[in-house]
Amino acid sequence: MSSLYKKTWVFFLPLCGLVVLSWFLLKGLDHDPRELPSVALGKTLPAFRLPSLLSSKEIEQTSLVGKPFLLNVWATWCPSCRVEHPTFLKLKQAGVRIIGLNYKDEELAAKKYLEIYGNPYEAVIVDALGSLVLDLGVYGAPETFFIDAKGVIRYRHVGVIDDRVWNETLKNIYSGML
Amino acid sequence: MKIFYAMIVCLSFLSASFVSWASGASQENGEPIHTFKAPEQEFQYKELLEVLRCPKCQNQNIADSDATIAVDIRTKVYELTMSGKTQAEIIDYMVERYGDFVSYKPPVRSNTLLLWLLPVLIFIVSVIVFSLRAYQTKRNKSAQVSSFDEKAFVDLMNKVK
Repeated sequence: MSSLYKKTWVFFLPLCGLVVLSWFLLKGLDHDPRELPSVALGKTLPAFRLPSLLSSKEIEQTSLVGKPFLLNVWATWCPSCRVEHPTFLKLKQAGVRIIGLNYKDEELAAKKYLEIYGNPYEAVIVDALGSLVLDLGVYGAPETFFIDAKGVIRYRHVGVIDDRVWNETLKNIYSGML
Repeated sequence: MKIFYAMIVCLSFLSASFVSWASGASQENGEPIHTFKAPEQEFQYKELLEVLRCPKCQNQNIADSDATIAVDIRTKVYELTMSGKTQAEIIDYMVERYGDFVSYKPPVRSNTLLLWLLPVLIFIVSVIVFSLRAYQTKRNKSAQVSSFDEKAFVDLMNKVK
């Protein structure tokens, strides 16, 4: 290899490296690092038996499965949950089935909250110790799981659900489950 | 007089800090202080807290994080440790729920191979590039020396004298 040929070839190395790096970085622009792939996707809803907020009867996963629903992790100490609450009320009006998962909250405060701001939930599970939340691989509130008629977790949305996110992404996922 | 007051303030601050440091385990979020039946259990618990990543505050391990989910994971790790589970079993338990990312020691698998190999590859490539350049520079230097014209140099020095 003559030294001239070698010199030209070596000059291209940093350029190739830059192109490869740029490709990775551009790909990363659309990717939210907080949204990790949920291990729960594709698995069935974990078995549980927990108290209900609004009824004296306990709730088991077998009693919920059968019709597709949204499982919404919320709490009165979570300010973003208050932000998405009106959207859930609208969804309930439109016939979407929503089950609440009240995470490490005070029962009295939670009941009061639903009285004042409205109740979009068909039922509310009380997870005082966070056991179901941990089994689902939840990072925090609010999070919403899309569960189909067989009890399989089809999708997990981290963060607030507003009208835009519902119309652009989530509506299709929900109707795909029906 | 002012110095006296300043000393009182400093002393009370120091003693308050010492007391909170000496009391050890924190009690934030109403989290209970954990007691252990054996020192190996306590050691395993503390190690696990440093090896597991907080899912919410992802640049912290669950020993440091104050996130609600971190508190829950700490409690779960304590329960599992007390029930006799090994460190590997507890990490598997968490990975089952949160994925590989929750462990600071990712397994060596086909999808993590690039993660493990990349630093080594970059190191090898840099060594190659640097040694090539050093070799080239050495060759250039020796070329300069061999083309050095001794007679012309001596003539020039004589002229200058």
